[in-house]
Amino acid sequence: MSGIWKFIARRLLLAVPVFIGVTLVTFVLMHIVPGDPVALQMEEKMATIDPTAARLIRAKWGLDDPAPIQYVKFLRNALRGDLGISYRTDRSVLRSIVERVPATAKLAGAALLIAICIGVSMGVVAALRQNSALDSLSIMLATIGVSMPNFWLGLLLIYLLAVNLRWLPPSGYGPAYPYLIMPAITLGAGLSAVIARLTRSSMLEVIRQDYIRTARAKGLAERSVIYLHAFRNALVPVVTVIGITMAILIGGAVVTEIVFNIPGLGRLIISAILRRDYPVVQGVVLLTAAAYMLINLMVDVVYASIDPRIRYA
Amino acid sequence: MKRSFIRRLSGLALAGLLVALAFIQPVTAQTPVPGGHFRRALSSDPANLDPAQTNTVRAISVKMNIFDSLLRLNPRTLELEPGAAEAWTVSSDNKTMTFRLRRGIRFHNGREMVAEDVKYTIERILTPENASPFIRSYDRIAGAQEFVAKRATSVGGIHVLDRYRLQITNSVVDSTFPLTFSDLFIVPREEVERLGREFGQRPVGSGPFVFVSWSRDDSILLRSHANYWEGRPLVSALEFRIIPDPATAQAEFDTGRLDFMLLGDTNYRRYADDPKWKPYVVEVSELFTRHLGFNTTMKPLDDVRVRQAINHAIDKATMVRTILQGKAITAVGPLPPSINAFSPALRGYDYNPQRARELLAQAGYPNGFELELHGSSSPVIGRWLEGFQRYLADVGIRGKIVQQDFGVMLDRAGKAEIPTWTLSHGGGPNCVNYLGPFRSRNFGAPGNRMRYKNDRVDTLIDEAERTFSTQRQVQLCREAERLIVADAPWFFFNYNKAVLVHQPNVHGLVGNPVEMDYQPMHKVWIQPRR
Repeated sequence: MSGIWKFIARRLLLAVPVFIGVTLVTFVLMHIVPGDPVALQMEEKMATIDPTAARLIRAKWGLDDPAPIQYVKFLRNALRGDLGISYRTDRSVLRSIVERVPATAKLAGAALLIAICIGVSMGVVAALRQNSALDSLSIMLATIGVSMPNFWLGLLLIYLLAVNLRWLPPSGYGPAYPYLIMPAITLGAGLSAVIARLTRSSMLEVIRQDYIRTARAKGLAERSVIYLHAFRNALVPVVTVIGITMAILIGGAVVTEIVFNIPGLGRLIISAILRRDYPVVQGVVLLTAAAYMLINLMVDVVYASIDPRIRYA
Repeated sequence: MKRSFIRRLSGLALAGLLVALAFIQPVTAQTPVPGGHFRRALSSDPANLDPAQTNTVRAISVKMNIFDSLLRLNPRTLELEPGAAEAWTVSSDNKTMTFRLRRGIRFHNGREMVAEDVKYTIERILTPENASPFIRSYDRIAGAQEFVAKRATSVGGIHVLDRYRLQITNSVVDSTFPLTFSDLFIVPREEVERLGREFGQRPVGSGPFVFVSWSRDDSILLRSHANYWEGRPLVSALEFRIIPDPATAQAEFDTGRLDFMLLGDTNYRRYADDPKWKPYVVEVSELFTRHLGFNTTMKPLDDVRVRQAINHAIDKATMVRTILQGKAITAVGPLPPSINAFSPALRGYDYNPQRARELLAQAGYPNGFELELHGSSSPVIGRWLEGFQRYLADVGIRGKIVQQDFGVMLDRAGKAEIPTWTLSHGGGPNCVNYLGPFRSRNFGAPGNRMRYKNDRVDTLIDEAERTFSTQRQVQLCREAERLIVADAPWFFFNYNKAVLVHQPNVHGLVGNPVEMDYQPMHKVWIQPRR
């Protein structure tokens, strides 16, 4: 088995204790936090809660079992690929999650694309024109981008582009154009600022290296020096950050999904937490943990293709 | 000359036509026009559309358009009126109700609704494995307890007399019993059995609209039921768009992508005071009482004088005018103005800080005390709590605001772990149900989180429950309310004013005090835009 496959296999094996840890922590936290899922399900239109109905609902969802038994049952079913049934919707948790993935993936993907395009190009230009007006402008835009809360930027865009100019629909889920433009900008703005700053500093560090001087001394065209030698090496830390910030993107997607009314994972988990829908919370946490681990693994693998010096022992 | 005559004649004809059009226009504006795609918002996904399952406002708002209920509640009078049952009678002992179904009600699969369907629907709710939150509504039907305990295969108190008539016997005399049938959405057995758990996701009913599709957290689409017994609904498609953020809903409404929206405190004035929108604002005093609940077993709130002092200390009229932007009515007691038992003579507590200080001194707290003011984490509740804190400080009560997750607060209040909590109580159109949280049999999570006990109040509500005379029931509820107000287990804050604004071309929406979201959509129509 070659180095990289051994590396992947080891990482996948390490995933097992991580999954157990993540689900255990989530389970304990959800049960420590006060709030009865049955009372929350029944309270809304009932002047009073009926103890008989509450008892039957508890029995139906296995909530009358001791907590450790509930956890073991969850693990046993999860190993079989069954994440249980949502208390709130009476539907399969796995199905509920799977049907939400495309919306969140599209949103996160589009936001990432925008963030990379804007961030990397802004960072490269700022580095190449260090201490110029362009550099200062990029610093200013990056600061604004990082400081602006998602929901606020989202609402501003809605009022400007949808309510006043009527160029785009205010919210909803549909084809990428016109529905994904405002949400992707909203979610990607903060990340593009982070990427821009990082690309700038990474580029500045790389273009001062000896091998760049050597490349120039060889008489290579400046464009080749920048794009073939400097840019590629400057990307290594940027890729790491992009991997890590995927987590931030999925977290930020919660707010963006609510403001733009996108039926994604963020909205699913928020309503599940508020209603103490334990199976859904557990399911989303489990799959999100899996997604993070997969992204991190991919980032590690991508390193090797960017920087041939990196080897997997 | 001939040409000039013709020209004059044409001029006259044109003028006549214009005059006629001017007269015709208002008439056509009021003449229902069939067709159109109606779009309305829901603040969250209804979760499940099975009538035996979810009881949330969102779910019922959708279900009431897909299913027929046995009886209906008139939103204007709050009286029961025919639904799937065209007539009903109550026996002389007030225990047995006999219903006669309409002939020709068709489920969306084409089959006619019969009395057996009603029996099946009730028995399905009572089936323990279904764990229906509505079980309490029907568990006092004669034989229901045996059925729930699996000692009987059917409910003895439900008798199908013939294809269209059935008799339901209650084991006790309960005047609120007929009301439960306005929530009984009748389901076709064969579709429930065919779809199983999926029935809640792809419901089949007999109502004015037929389920088409449901994109979770996005939208629910229904189309008009051509064979509906009341005639085909006027709008051909009804779409519920799930929009959790009120600012987004407002943007959708402002861009004409929603046909109506509910207004909150923050945007109420914007539409209600705007001459352009004012004619399209519908308001109603909702059957909800906002209050600060008191744990009457915890010091110093175990002293009635302290609770009365708090009621005197807060200037609720100013708070309603300022913090709530006038979108509420100050409360005098638990029963709101839309309910028939509302007492116009009840004075409640006036804003009187001096009296509050006197009461506190009498109770042994001349220098006040510290009090935790609990509420959910919503910003609206935060503003209320800040208002309470400010007024209580004037009489020496040092309020400490504690905001937390709604479920956490509810749980802690149910377990009597916290001294106060901020809630909005909705008990429906009958005063007996409305006063449920003040009955000592409902201690804790069942509703009486105050642990309030007054034997006379219990007796009065019990008697009101047993009487079928509306006048007598109103009298008993009013007397119970008077005692409750004197005991002050709540700070009676305000009754919510439910408000919606609709597009100018929308007609037929009504102000429903039970819940503004409950709109009977089959009578709503859209004037085509020119």
